[in-house]
Amino acid sequence: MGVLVLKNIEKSFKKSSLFGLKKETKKVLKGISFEIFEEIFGFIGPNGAGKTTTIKIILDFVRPDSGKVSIFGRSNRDVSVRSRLGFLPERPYIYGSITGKEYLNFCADVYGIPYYERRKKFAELLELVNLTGVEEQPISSYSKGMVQRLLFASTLLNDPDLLILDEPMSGLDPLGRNVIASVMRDLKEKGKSVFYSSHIIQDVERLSDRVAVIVDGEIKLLDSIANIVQRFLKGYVITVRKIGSSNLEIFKVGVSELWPRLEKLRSEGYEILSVEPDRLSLEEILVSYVEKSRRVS
Amino acid sequence: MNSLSVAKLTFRELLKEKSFLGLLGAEVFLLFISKLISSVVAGDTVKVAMDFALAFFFFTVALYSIFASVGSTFRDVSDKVVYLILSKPLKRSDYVLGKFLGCTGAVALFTFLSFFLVTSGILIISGTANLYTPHVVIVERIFLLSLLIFLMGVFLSAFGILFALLFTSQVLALLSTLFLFLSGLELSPVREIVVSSKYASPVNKLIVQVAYYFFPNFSLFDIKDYVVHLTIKIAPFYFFAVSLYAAIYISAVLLVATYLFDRREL
Repeated sequence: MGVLVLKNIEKSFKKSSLFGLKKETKKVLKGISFEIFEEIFGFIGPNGAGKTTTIKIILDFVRPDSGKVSIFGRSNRDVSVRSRLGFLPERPYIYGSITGKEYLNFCADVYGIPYYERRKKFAELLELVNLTGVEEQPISSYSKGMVQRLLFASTLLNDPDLLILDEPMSGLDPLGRNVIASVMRDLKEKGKSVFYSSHIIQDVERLSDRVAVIVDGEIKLLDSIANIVQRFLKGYVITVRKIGSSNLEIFKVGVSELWPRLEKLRSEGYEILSVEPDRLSLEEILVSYVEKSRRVS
Repeated sequence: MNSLSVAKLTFRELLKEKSFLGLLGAEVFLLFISKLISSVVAGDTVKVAMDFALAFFFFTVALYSIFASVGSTFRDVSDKVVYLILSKPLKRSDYVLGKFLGCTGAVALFTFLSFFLVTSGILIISGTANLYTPHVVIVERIFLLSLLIFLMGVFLSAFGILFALLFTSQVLALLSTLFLFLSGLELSPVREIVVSSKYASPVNKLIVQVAYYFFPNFSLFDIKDYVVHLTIKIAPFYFFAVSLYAAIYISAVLLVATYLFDRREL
């Protein structure tokens, strides 16, 4: 059984219009189901597709109309499951008047981490997110990226088995993104699970084991990156050079034509320099699903 | 235990807010105003100064309690701090209780510091007054008033938290708490007038009676006259009864706040 299981989640919101006289219902999630194992699971989709609502439902901030969510085999409404969970919301905010250390102490209090363990743990986490030395300063003096990194560090305080991140990379510089990416990989190495949504498709492609594409409240695609690459493979790009020449030549071939073409090129005296898959990028796949969905609606 | 963590965080946040020191500063300024007003009236100037200083004390604590509880709770929801807090092993009821305890701590400290400022101010005014018959100031009575003002502040904090969790507008939450406070102060005299009036209809009398028992009665916490007029006596049971009244009402308000917050989508 998966670490996180969503079964047929449906959710609609009431929208008031005409000065609140007329109420319209908008279905934002239309029977979402997926399961997460010990892996890095990317959740992508355009704005308003239902990514954040799904995350809010997982964390019981919003209740679904129907369907079930279970975390570690228990209901998501069971508060005890959250002691094995870490969560970073999108554009996170915490009081500017308190210091970073005071916030970490609050988290440690909630998780019941004894005082004698805190100093070492805080130092490790702050070093991990490059915030050593600023923990005694008020959070109001931090930059946006620093706040995000501090709150990310706080999600790791309880050594979570499942990390849920809503747009963790947005608003971060490449250095910050790299820190988060490497922590995600480390967690996976340790047999933990990471579920995250992102707009930065390149990051999703490079980090995730599996990806779910959500468009208009429906999961349109759910597969491993390897399978997606295979599924959306158009062919290959072969780079060759005639022996003795310095000019490079590039050929595009279909999937079934690769081996015969390679044989032919070799027999014609070409040196094969590289063979790369010619496929749709995850971004192109996402865009194609969004356009298809718009055409249907 | 988890509600204590939220209480600690709330307390720390509130102490570092500008409103805490700002309103204490206002308290000092109002003491000067009390002294100024007393100096232009004839008669017992200390009594007049005390009247004003204690009234300012009463209202400053009330305002601080309202602003602190509504502001802190509303910000948590609107700035999504609740996402960070509630994603941890905490029940929503722990959050509401923690918020309330944190506000209670901040109100306690604010009231204590105000008590210190006001008492010092009154003692200075009384010591420097040029009166034929000196006005006796009993600090214990000011302390008893402070305890009731603190209880009122805690009471208002509970309402502030309830309204901040109930409404989607901070202004509405602030105004509702303020309205409740002012109406709670005036309900008792209004009831006396209406009930004893020959002209009020039985329906109006009934409405006022129902409102009197339904809305919180904040005038119970106002014992300024007891502090200023030494001939007035209050039985110790009164303090016990008022505390019990506040405790029951606050518990009910917190239960309603928890019930509503538990059902709210964040």
